[in-house]
This record gives sequence, structure tokens and C-alpha cells, in this order.
Amino acid sequence: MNAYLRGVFGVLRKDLRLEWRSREAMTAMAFFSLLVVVLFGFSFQTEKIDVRTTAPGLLWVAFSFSGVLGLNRSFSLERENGALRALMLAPLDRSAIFVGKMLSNLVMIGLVEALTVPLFSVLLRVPVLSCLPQLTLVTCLGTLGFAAVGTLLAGISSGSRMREVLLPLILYPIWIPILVASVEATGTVLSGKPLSEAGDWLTLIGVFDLVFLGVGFLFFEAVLEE
Amino acid sequence: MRASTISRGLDLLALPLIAIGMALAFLYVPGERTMGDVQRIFYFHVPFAMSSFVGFAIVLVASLGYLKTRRDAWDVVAEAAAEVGFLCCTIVLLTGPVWARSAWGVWWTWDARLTTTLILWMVYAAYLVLRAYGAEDAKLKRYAAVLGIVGALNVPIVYFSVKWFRTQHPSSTFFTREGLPVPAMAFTLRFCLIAVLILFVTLLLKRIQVGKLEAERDQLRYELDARE
Amino acid sequence: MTDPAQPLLQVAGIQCGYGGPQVLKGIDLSLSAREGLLLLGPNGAGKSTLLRILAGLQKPGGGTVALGGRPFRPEDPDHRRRIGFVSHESLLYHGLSGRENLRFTAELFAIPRAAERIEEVLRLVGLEWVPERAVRTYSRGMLQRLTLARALLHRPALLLLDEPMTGLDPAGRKQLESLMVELRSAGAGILMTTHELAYVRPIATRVAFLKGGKLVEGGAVEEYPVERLESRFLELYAKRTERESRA
Repeated sequence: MNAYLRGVFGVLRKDLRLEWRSREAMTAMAFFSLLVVVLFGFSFQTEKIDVRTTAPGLLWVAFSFSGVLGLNRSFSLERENGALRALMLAPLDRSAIFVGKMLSNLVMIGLVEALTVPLFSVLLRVPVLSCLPQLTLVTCLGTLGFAAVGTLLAGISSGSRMREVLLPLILYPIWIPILVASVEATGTVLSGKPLSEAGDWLTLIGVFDLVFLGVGFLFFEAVLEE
Repeated sequence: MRASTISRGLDLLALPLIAIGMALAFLYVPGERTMGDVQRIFYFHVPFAMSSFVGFAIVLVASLGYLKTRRDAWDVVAEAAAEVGFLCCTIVLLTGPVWARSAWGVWWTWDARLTTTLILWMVYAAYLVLRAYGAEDAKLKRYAAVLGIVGALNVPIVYFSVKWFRTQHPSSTFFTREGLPVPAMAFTLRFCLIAVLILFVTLLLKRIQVGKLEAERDQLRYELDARE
Repeated sequence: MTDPAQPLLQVAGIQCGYGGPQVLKGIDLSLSAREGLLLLGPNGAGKSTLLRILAGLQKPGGGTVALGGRPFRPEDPDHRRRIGFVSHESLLYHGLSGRENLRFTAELFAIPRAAERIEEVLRLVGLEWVPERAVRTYSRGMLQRLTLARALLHRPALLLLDEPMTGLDPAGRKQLESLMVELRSAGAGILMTTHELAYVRPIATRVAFLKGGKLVEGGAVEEYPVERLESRFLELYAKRTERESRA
């Protein structure tokens, strides 16, 4: 196997194994995601929320909040005992570390999203079954961008003095445009319209994904260095 | 020496130009017919908006320069541009609502331009938070450079998302752009644009000087601690 | 690839201080195979910074590093394979077991016959009985041995050890000492920092004192019996220690 891919999948497998041992990140993320849905349900006191506007917004707020928990955890594990340094000492391209960490974050956030959607659908009575493939596509695209820029910025926040506190502060302002796009595309999908109506939004998300995968690929090394 | 001469020259130039610009905007130029006197705020609002974009562009270039060369000078420029850009952005956000209140009857509306500016202001703020509460010196500079690049590359994406967002949700307040009708207005706007840009450069150079002095101070402090 | 006539490590004029105070102001040193250089200096003198630069974790502000006569390029995988680095942190994932950590390292380094090599290294550091539970639950001494095992797994020619004795009991120190002496006579070059002067003396063939960002004094280890090492240390850094104790 190619050395680069060996690095990428080595990092990915290691992250998933670590998580499988404790399951602490996933538990925290899933519980937090549920809490956000319930909090919204209570605070808006709505019998039936608007499928076009409120529901997708709520869903993506839950994803964004729980996603930050996962990103923080992913990097505190690396920084705790200097393990990230061991990755840098290994003979592999440092962008492979980025890709591996990004994929592990994508998998974990994606799993939590897969848990959140049914709960959200039942608790807030938003039908999702009829549009599940489209919803999955939109969610995956949006989450890819979140994981890409999130992995890069979590590398920064975890090395800073403020650690966990800093990540949402630097991530959310960058994330807003794609949050908007993902919410819009999800709204289109949830209200039963064809995916093509959200074409512009999906293009925008795709551009964002590509730009920040590229930035992470190029500049993650500068984040890792001491 | 030469850089400081230029900087001093700009100092002497900036304030009179701003004063003249104010005089033009408030005394010389006629009030706009439908919007009235409140429209005069545009003569400063628009130039500051442009300056804040220039600030972002400088942050982008200087951050790339820093990561490429690792020269502290680039970092000082990036930090200075972010701070001055943030100041301009803040002025835009303060002057905008004053106009909006009288034109649209509300202080704030989720109009494309307003929203874009607000998001950019938050990106600047995030960058400055990182710099303020960041990390050890060398790390912080690299971190800030990466965030600066991410933030600046995001600007066009922010713009499009917000623009499409508004067209999908038509609101009662449309921001239509009309050409400035009177030549005096165009002249005043151009004059103010130049004045504000010169002010921007002056502040930028000042902040760069401060940044250099800070670095020098840190080195001296370290030498003092290390001296036997 | 490596020219045996060339020293293992050749450092000239290393400076460090971009993005912060100038900590290193021109370090020159060279290290051959079978040599052990003991780097001494007070906390904050820049010892760790120098080791991090030599490990390729940090970029120097100036100067050159050569490995086996070739310019050191940290991005070159072959160069990284030749360096083993131990810092005061374990560089391990404490949620995984000892063997899992080593397996991960073996994977990243693409070590052939990894399972055998892992058992071999565990025997080397006296940890062949390492339990299959999370590293978090290991004792300090076990952790330190495992840290060393990770650094030795890929058979590095150059060992950079930053305070490797921390947390070891006297028996552990003795064992580490003889392991290092063994590795050195087998051909490894060792560059280490420590405050536990007495324990590491057998590992070293030379000593050097770091002060004010430069190497100010040094020589063969024979010239520096333990008492002399200590007295020179105190003399060289007297004012500094005094001021720190006042502060």
C-alpha cells in the first residue's frame, strides 16, 4: 500500500480504536445533540415547527454544537501527552495527518448526526423518511466542510492557551456561510422539493468543502509545528 | 529612516484631509432628495467599508508571506492590518444602522451587505481573540497566519451565501443602488475615499511601528532575564 | 546513503528565535556514531528547543544541520527514520495499551515483521510483561520504559533524549543506563539533556554546557568527574540561580 494512504488510514484507525475503547466523545456528542433538540422543543413550545425554516436550522445548530465537542476531544487526545509530536516524528507527510484526523472527525460527527435525525424527527414530528437520500447527501456535504475547517482550526485551538474555549469562537464565524447554505438546502429537501432547487446552495457548499480541504492540506503542517 | 519620513508625512496629511472631507460631506454637498441629510453619512460609511476589505486583503497577503518566509515583519503587518481593518469594520457597522433607522425605519435588517459586514466583523474579532489569548510567540504567529488565510478566503463565500439568502427570503426593504446623481456628490465621495484610505494607511504604519517596538521590547526583556 | 566518514550529526550556527526571544545564538556541535554528548544547562537555557530542532519538530531561525554529511531535511521520511526522540512527555496515547501504541508506531514507520520487533524492543526496555490495558493505568516507571520503547522501535541511529531519567526509580535508571551504553557501543549516537548528572555519566563520552544561547564549555567526560560537573554547573549558572531563588 502506498505510504501516504497507510499514514491516513493508520491515523483514522487509531482514532476510531481510541474512541471505541472509551466511547466518551460519541456519548457526549450524542447526548449534547439530543439536549439541543429538546431545549429547542421546550423553548419554542411549538406543537409543530415549521419544516421549511425552523426545523433545518435547529438540526444544523445541533450538529454544529455537538461537532465542536467532538473536534475538541479529537485534539485534546493528541495534545495530552504530546502524542501529536510522535505523529510528526513519523516518516509520513504531514498533510496525511490532516486527512486522517479529518476523516475520523467526519465519521464520528456523521454517526452522531445519524443518531440525531431520528430523534429529531420523532420529537419534533418532522417527517424525514420520504427524503432520506437527499437529506443524507446534504448532510454529508455540509459535514465534510465542517470537518475540514474544524480539523484545521481545532489543531490551532488545542495548541493555544484557551484550548477548548477558543474553538467555537474561531470556527463559527467561518462556518456561518455554510451553515446558512446547509440550512437552506436541508429546508428545501425537508419540504419535499426536488434537490435541484437547492442547486446553488449545494454548489456553494461544494466550493467551501474544496477550498478548506485544500487549505487544511496545505497549511496543517504550519499548525502542527512547534 | 525613509519609511518613518513617509509615515510622518502621511500623519500630517491624514487629519486635514479627513477634516476637509467632513466639510465637503456636511457643508458643501447638497442633501439627497429622498433620503435627506442622513445620506451624508455615506461619504464616510462607504470608504470605511472599502478600507475594511483592503484590510482583509492585506491580512491574506501578509499571512501567506509569513508562512512562506517566516519573517516576523509579515506577521507584524498582518496583525496591524487586522486591527485597523477591524476598526474600519466597526465604524461601518456603527454608521450603517444610523442611516438604516431613518431610511428603513429599523436599526438593523438582515440585508445582504449588512449581514456580510457583520460576519466579516466577527471573523476579524475571532482573529484578534486568537492573537490576544493565543499561545507562545512562534506558534501564535503561525496560528494567526492560518486563521487569517481561512478568514480571508471565506469572504467571497460569505458574500454569496448572504446574497442568495436574501433573494430567497424577499424582505420589505430593498437596498437598491442608484448612481450618485449630482457631480458634487461623486466628487465628495471620491475625496472622502482617498482621505479615509490615507487615514487607513497612516494607522496601519503606526500600528506596524508599535508591533516592531513590541518585538524589540520582548527581546530586551528576555536578554535581561537571561543575563548573568 | 550515509557516509561513514562523516559525523552522524553536524550542527553549525543554529539559531532560534523567530517569533520570539532569541534563545539559541549559534550552536555548533558534532556527534559521531558511538558517541554520547551530555548537554547541560539550567531550565530555559534552550536545551529542549535545540533537541526539538534536531528532531525536525521545529524550524531553526538560522544555521545548518547535517545528518551523515547530508543537509537535514525534516520532510524527508528517510531522515526521520534515523532519529529517535524522547521528551519529558510520553508521546503515547494513554487510552490505548502499550502494545497497541507500539503497533501504531510500527505502522507509521512501516516496520517489517512488526510483531517480532515490538516484542524485541519490549524485552530491551524490560517490559516484555507489559499488560494489555490502557497506558493510563501504568506506573510512572513503566510509562517511561514504554516511551523509550516507542523511540527505539524503528532502530534510529541518532537518539535525542530530553530528560529520559525523569520518574524512574534507581533500578530503572540503572537499567536505562546500561541499555543506553549498549546501544551506543552498537553504533548509535546519543545526545541527551538531564539534571541527574550522576546517573547519565556512563552514557556520555563528552559534556557541553549551554549558556546565553551558546555552548560555552565542554570536553571529554573523563575531564569531568561527577563533583567537577556539579561544581562547574553551579559556577557557570551561579548568578542566575541566585536571582531565581530571590525572585
